[in-house]
Amino acid sequence: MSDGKMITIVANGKPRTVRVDCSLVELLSQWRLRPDMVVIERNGEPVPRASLGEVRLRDGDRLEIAQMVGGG
Amino acid sequence: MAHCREEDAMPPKSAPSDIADLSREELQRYSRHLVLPEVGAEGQRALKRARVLLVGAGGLGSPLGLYLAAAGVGTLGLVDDDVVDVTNLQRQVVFGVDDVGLPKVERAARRLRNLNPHVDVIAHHERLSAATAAGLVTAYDIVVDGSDNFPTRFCLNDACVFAGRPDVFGSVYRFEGQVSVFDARRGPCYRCLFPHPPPPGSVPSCAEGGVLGILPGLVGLIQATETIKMILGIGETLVGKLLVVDALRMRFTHLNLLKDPACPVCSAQASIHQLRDEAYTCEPVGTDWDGDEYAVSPTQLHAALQRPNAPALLDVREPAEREIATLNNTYEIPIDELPTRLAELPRDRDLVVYCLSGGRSARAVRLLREAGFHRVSHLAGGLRAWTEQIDPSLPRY
Repeated sequence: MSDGKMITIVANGKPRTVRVDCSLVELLSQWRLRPDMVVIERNGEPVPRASLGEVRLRDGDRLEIAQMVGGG
Repeated sequence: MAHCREEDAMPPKSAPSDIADLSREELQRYSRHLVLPEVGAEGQRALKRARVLLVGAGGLGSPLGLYLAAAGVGTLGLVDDDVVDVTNLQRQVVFGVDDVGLPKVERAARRLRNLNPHVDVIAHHERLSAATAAGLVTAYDIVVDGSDNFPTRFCLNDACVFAGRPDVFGSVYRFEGQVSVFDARRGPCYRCLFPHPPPPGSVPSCAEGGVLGILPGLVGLIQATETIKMILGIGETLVGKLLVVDALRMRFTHLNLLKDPACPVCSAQASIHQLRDEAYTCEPVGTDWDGDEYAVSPTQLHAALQRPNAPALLDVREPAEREIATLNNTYEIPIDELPTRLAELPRDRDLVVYCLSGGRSARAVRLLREAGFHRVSHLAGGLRAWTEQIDPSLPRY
């Protein structure tokens, strides 16, 4: 937090530090996840795939990210 | 009559009184249901009238079949083209050692009829495909997806959207499970979440990544619960929600889902208007290697390894997999560590990469070629193909 440009979010129940103003698309690319292979909820609200690039993360945001799973 | 409500949830195929009268034996068998006000005789008759299609007689299909049959679902269709393998028994609890090598649907049907002879179990020994899905789905009221591959899941979703049937979805991988009810008439479908199957090799199969044996049991029973609730018209279902189960942390999370206004199959902008077979995605097999210029067959590799300038072998599987079976490896670097360990590999020697079935090794070849390794190829079909064609003494997994 020394430069004040990092924020803390909670992803799938675990705290994570990300750059301030990071978009969800940037976050996914950082975590090597494909936007068309995840479902995301932010603070209890589903995020439409079309707006993944517009949503900017804020300090304290709670994300739930579900990845495509196919086994049976 | 409650005709309208039932029409919405589950259209009866014939007049209830014809087929759904409960015998004395059934009244006794289902007594713990009958005393529940939410079920009662009317609910039990609704279960008896219900026609449920289970796609996949495996890890999810085992608990689904056992509990739906025990609950008295009148007609249960089972679809699967596979035979029982000894590696199935760790989680596919409907089977025993006597079933190994025999068709899954036939063995499961036998077990379910024995569990509850009042259930009409119909075995469909086939792989669900674009050619067969519509006929199968329309013959049932509720469809349950317990399949283990993306082509089947997408084809089944589309068939349910077209036929107006709910698709009770469940999937598992390692320690995680997901459940939802996709019903395009009143909520999102599978393609609203994931518009198309993942690119080849991007999602490992359970065979490659593993799955904790209890997990399909846990997830399959949640699917069974949703199915029974829909038949009875009680409680709240997972329509519009994805339940994510993390067995390691024992964390159950609901994600709210949206119907995608640009969904390729269930929206006004739909581009898919008929069923189609999606290409395979995570388990490459046989002839699909023909277009892969960097693939070598087990026979070619076997011959190359006998020559003086034999290629080096790079195993990109996880250490735990090497404990089960391995070739005479020169290098061992799990695929995820490969980008940071390139310096360990030779550029002046032929290198053949392998994994279990060829998916990870194909990714490794792309990565290595991009990094300037020009003498790299990989084993088509992986260790599985090697075991089948060259060395049957290796343990299979």
